[in-house]
Amino acid sequence: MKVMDVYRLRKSLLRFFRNHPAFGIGAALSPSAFWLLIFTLIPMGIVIYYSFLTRGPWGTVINEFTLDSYRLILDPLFLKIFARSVKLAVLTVVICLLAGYMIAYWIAFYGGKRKNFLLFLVILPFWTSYLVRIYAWIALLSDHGLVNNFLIKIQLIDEPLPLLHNEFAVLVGLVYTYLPFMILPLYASLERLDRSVLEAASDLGATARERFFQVTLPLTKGGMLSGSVLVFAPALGEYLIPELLGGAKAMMIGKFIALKFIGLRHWPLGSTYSLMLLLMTLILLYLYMRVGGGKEAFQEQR
Amino acid sequence: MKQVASVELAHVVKRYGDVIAVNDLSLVIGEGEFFSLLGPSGCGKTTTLRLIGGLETPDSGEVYISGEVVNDRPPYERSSNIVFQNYALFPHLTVNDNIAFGLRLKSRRTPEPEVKKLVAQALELVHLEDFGARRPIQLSGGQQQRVALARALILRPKVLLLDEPLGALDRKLRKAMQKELRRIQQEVNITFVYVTHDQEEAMSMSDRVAVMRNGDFEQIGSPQEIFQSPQTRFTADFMGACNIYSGRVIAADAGEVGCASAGTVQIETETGFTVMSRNNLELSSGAATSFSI
Ligand SMILES: Nc1ncnc2c1ncn2[C@@H]1O[C@H](COP(=O)(O)OP(=O)(O)OP(=O)(O)O)[C@@H](O)[C@H]1O
Ligand SMILES: [Mg+2]
Repeated sequence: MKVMDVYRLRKSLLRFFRNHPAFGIGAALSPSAFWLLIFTLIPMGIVIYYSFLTRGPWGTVINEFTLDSYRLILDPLFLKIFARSVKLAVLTVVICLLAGYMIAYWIAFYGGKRKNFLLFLVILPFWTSYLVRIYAWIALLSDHGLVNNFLIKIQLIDEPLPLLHNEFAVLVGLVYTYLPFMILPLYASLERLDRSVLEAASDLGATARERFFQVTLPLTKGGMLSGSVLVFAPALGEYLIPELLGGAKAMMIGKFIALKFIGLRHWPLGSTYSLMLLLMTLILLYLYMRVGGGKEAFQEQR
Repeated sequence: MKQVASVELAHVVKRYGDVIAVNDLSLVIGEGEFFSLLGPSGCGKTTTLRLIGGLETPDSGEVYISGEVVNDRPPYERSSNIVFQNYALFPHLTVNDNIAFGLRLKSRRTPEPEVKKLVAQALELVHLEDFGARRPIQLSGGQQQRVALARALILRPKVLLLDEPLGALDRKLRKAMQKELRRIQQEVNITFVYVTHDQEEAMSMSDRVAVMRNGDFEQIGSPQEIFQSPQTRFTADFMGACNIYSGRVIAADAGEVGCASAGTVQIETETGFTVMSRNNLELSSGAATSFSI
C-alpha cells in the first residue's frame, strides 16, 4: 500500500464515521487511533481469525470454523513451559529492578555533567545486533569460555561450571538484554523527581534512609511500574535468548509457539497459543498494576 | 532588652563557583523575633535561609542555632524548619500525612493518637479543617502554602525559615495570609526568618528587617528606622522613596552628645537648593550625601 493510499484510506474512514455518527467511535478516530488500528488491532484480528480455522494437510489452513485448537490449550507441556517462562520473566524483572534502580539513581543524582554520556552508554548495546550480543554470551559462558577459564586459572574451581544451556544462562541473557528498558523509565522518573521535595523531607527530619523509602521510592513508582511492564512482556515471550543460551532444558513459551507454527506447521494452534500468551500477560500485568497502585502512581507523576 | 540569640551568623561566606552568593554575613536574631530578609532578586536571601536550615554548608564562618555551632549538622538534625517558596509538599501523601510526616519519623516516634490530635490542631491553626483527606494537587496555591506552614509548625522548631511563602498569591489572599502568619507567629512564639522581596510585606509584619544587596546587608533595623532614615541610597531606593537628591553637607550641628534629639544638617543639592535636615548619622561638613523628602 502506498503512502497516498493510506492517507486516502484514513480520510475515507474519517468521512465514513462522520457520516455515520451511530458508530460512536467515529469521534475517537484520531491519528493515534488510526495507527493503533493499522499496526495493532488489524494484525491482532488476523491472529484471532486464524485461531478458529481448521488445519489442512501439509500445513495449509482451511477457511472453516472449528474450536479444535482451543481444545488443546490445557496441554500439560504448554502449562509447564508457560510456568517456567513466567518464573524467568519475573526473576528478570526483579533483578532488573534492583540493578536498574541503582544505576538510574546513580546517573540521575551523581551523573553531573556526564549524565547524557552515561545514558548513551546504557543504550549503546542497541547499536549492535542483538543476535551478535547473545552469541557473545556463549563465548563468555561456555565450558571453555572466558568466565570458566578465568575461574580455573585463579584456581577457584577445577572443573568448568555448567554456566551455559540452562535456566541460569537464559536469565543472564534476559537481564542483560532488557536492563536498558528498566533503566530508561526509572531514570526519567528520578530525573523528574522534584529535588525540593527531597530537601523538604530532610528538613523535616528524615534520615537518608527514611527519605529514600518514604519519599523517593513512592514517587518513582510510576517509573518502576512502566519499567517492569517493558521488561516483563518481551521477556515472557522471548524466543532467541532461550533458543541460543537455554537449549532443550530451558525452553520458553516463545519457542514453544514457534514450534507449532514452523515445526508442526499448525497455524491455527500457534495462533491460539499466541492468544493465550497475550491473555495471560494482560492478566498478570493487570494484577501487578492493581497491587502496585499503578493508576495512582501514574497520575502523581504529572 | 533581654535577648537570647536564636540564630546567629558569624562572617558566613557561601560561593557557587565564581558567584559569591553570601559575602561575610554577620547577624544576630533574638528568640521569638519576626525577622525579615528583604532585597532584590539574586541578592542571596534564599542562600542565607538554606545556610541556616542546613541545606547548604558555608564556605567559611559559623552558623549558630540557640548558641550551638551547627555548621556540620545535616538538616534533619537541626531544630529549624523551612517553608519552601514552591511549598515542596509530598504529592503522594494526603494533607494529613504531609503534616504528620515529621512526627512519624523515627527520630520523633510520636504515638499515632497523639499524631492525630496534633494534626487536627495544626489544620485548625491554618483554617484547613476540612481538607485533611485531600492530595496537594487538589488544593489551591494558598491552601498548599498553609499546608506547608502547618507541616513545619507542627514540629515546633526553634526557628521557622520562610522563603517568599506568599509570593504566588493574589493581593487579597496575600494580605489575609500576612495577618494570619503574624497571628500564628505570636501564638506559637517561634523565631521567624522571613524572606521576601516585597518591602511593604516586610514593613508590615516584621520586628526587624535586614535589607540585602549582593550577598551583604545594607542595613538592619526596625521597619520604622529603615523606612524613616535609610542609611544608604540603595535602601532608600528599595523602600520606594521616589525623590532622592544628591548633595553636599555645608553645615552640620551634631547637637549635644547623648541628647535624645538628633542634630540637624544643612545640605546643598547639586541643583543649588539648600535644605535643612534632621539627621541621626554622623555627617560632617563637606561630606557627599543623598536624601529623600
Ligand atoms: N545552586 C546554585 N548554583 C550557582 N549559583 C547559585 C546557586 N544558587 C544561587 N546561586 C546564585 O547565588 C546568588 C544568590 O541567589 P539566591 O537564590 O540566594 O537569591 P535570592 O535573593 O533568593 O533571589 P530571589 O529573590 O530571586 O529568590 C544568585 O546570584 C544566584 O545566581
Ligand atoms: Mg530566593
